[in-house]
Amino acid sequence: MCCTPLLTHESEVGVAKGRPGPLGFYLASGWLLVCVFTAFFGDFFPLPKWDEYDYDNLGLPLFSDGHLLGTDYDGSDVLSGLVHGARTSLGISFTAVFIGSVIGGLLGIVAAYRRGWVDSVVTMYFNVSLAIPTIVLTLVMVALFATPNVDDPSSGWPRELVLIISLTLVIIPILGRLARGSALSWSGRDFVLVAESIGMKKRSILRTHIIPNVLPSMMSVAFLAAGVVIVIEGGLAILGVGANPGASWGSMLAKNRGELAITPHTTLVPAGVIGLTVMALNYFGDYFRLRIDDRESRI
Amino acid sequence: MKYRVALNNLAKAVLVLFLVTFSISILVRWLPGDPIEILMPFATEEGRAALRAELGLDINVVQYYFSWLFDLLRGDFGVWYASTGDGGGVPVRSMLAVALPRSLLIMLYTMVVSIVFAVPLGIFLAYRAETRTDKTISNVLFAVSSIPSFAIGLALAFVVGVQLDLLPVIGYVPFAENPSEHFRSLVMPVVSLSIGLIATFSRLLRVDMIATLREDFVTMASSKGLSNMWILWRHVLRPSSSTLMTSAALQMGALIGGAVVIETVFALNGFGMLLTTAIATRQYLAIQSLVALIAVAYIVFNFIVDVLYAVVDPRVRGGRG
Repeated sequence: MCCTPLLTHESEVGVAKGRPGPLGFYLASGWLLVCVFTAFFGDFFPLPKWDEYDYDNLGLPLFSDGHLLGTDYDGSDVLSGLVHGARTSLGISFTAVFIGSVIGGLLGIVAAYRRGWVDSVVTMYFNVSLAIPTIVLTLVMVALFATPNVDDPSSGWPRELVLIISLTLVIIPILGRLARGSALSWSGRDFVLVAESIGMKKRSILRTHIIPNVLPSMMSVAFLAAGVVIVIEGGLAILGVGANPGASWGSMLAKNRGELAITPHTTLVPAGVIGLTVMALNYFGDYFRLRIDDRESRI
Repeated sequence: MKYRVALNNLAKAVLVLFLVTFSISILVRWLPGDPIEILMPFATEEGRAALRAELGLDINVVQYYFSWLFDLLRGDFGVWYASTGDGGGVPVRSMLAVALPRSLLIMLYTMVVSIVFAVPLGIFLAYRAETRTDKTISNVLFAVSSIPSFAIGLALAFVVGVQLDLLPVIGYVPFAENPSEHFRSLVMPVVSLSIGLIATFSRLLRVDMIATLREDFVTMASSKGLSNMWILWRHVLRPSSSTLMTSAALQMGALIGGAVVIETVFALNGFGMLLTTAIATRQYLAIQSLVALIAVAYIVFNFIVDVLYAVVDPRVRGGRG
């Protein structure tokens, strides 16, 4: 122990960052491909319908005949649920992150480039929304839009739509602040000064110099954000305001949570799938960030 | 000059607080469904009018906001209305007195446990930087930091609570009632929240420690013949912990959200339960006060970080940072 050299002067900075190796990246890509494929083509799989109840086979264990991952307490097939849930969970997550990054990115980039009062207002908006924890914000939003009127149970918007809107509102300030910071750092670079001094229009500087440079760093965070959204969606489902029972991964585990002692797989399998997907998204985002760091260090 | 920066930050924090609470009072007004119908379904007209006045539904949103704000500043968090028909209710403050300590204790325990485990782990990894041990553990930590706490919680509840039957799966026991049962009831919630944090914190500390280890004062200390452990703990840890502390304070805010879900998983009936019930049953005043409380906590945590920065890192304190 005493003889281990303490100093790491000679080590390279990149190595010391503790980045995961390429193997993790390949596994992550594989898993995400499977999920995305399932989300698109799940309907064509030879499986029972996710909301069809097989009353003769309640609470089947894993690897049962005809139900590979068993059934839950009201007889719906766990594998079909996961396949259908991939569409709901990934759909909600990717849509919210995509819309949120477009709006947040535009706000952040414009704020950084225009400065002045536009910047103050946008930054204040980001700070205000970031001061409310995401789960509280989405909880209030879902209650606000999705709960039907007492007199008219069919009023209120579909849960999935409300989830997308509220999660988009969560994503906007996160990616917006990132885009603003990144745009600020890029707009101080020499090539932007050169473009300005040769009389290039602000709009074209934004389009040709700022946005293409801000996008990659937003991409890497967008993958992390997609993971965060899947986790929030699961949390909301546990709190009872997620997607309809059994329709997403989160609401699958929320629905079966009470049966943990009897049919544990109906809760733990969706929980594992959520965990794997979030992990894969994190690997993916980190890989992008590594590539960008490399690229920027060469510029 | 320093005071001006501090005052500026304070003014910004107050403005953010105002905007958060005001937008909540507008949002809460938009909640569909007449709260009077939900709170007093069988009341007389006079009863309804009285409740309407008491809830501030008969005044405009600005008046309503300020009457709520002044009540809050006097320590009155509003009334939790029960549908007993007579409009009677329980003060939100007395419900908070039950729920808040539970959630605060969970958050406190989680933070303490996370830091107590993360600091030695981070130091160890920095010390062994780039060896096989470090690479393996760092990879595992990266994977672990992305698992949601409720997934860990559910897995723990099944393995430790159901299969091994070691710990209670649901319920909370106050410390004053039975200290050992108190800790037993909180082990699983705290562990599920801590695992991700330990992974995050130790990775952050590792990177900062490695950066500090490159500085000249470490070479100096090493050439004076000080032991590695002494250098790591006494010289390198402090200047390397600023990122860790920022992250810890930010995570305190995020922990509120995580704790809300974990409380529900383990049926601890804390602050999260209070908030979800308030939203489900249209407790206007309660929702507003509870969210304001969270926002205040969040902003205070961030404020504390700025102060701690200066205390921990002598380079910032001396104005050389």
